[in-house]
Amino acid sequence: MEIFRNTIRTHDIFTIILISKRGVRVDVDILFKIAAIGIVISILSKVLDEAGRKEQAQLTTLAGVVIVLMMVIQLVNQLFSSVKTLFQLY
Amino acid sequence: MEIIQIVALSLIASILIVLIREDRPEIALQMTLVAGIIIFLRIMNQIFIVIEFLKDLSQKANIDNLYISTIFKIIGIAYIAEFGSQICKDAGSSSIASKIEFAAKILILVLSLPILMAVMNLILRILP
Repeated sequence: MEIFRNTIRTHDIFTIILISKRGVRVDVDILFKIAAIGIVISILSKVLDEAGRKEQAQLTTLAGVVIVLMMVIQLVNQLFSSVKTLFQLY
Repeated sequence: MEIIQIVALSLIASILIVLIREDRPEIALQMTLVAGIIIFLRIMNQIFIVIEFLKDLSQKANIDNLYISTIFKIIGIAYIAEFGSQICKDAGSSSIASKIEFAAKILILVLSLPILMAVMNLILRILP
């Protein structure tokens, strides 16, 4: 029982450290955000294609990929740093 | 009930990914990545509990800290490599995925060399 209590305490400390270090805890919102961006970008690119503006459609696609990549890279960084602290990979 | 949340999240994510994949395969791939990361970050606290328990157990059994930390490092490398290689396989570039696995194998071998040396020394001491 003592071991278990000890573990829980360290685990709480770890969570607090993680929250304070990385800002907000990761949430599901980002998934829906990315899905929305994807749908909007595909509609925009289709409309621009129909209007005969191929280059702007291409640029829209590129901008969407870059915006999503900006969000994903932060998450990947969070994943790598948490795996590093978890398994003591330094 | 953590598992219900995770399964619901995965189902919603896969439906959205199927919806998006037709038009924008690159954004669908990034959604796959994000879903995997969110699931891992959700169960990270439980993994931490398990690791603390194993560490406690090894301290009680008087196992050298070198061995147990090496095992954890190997698990971490294997997890990261598996994650990356599966994402690469999903994206259709399975040759890069197999190269990631190769690199992970080499890194794990390098990490486990000291343990192998210790075993060899033990055998050499016992044998003659």
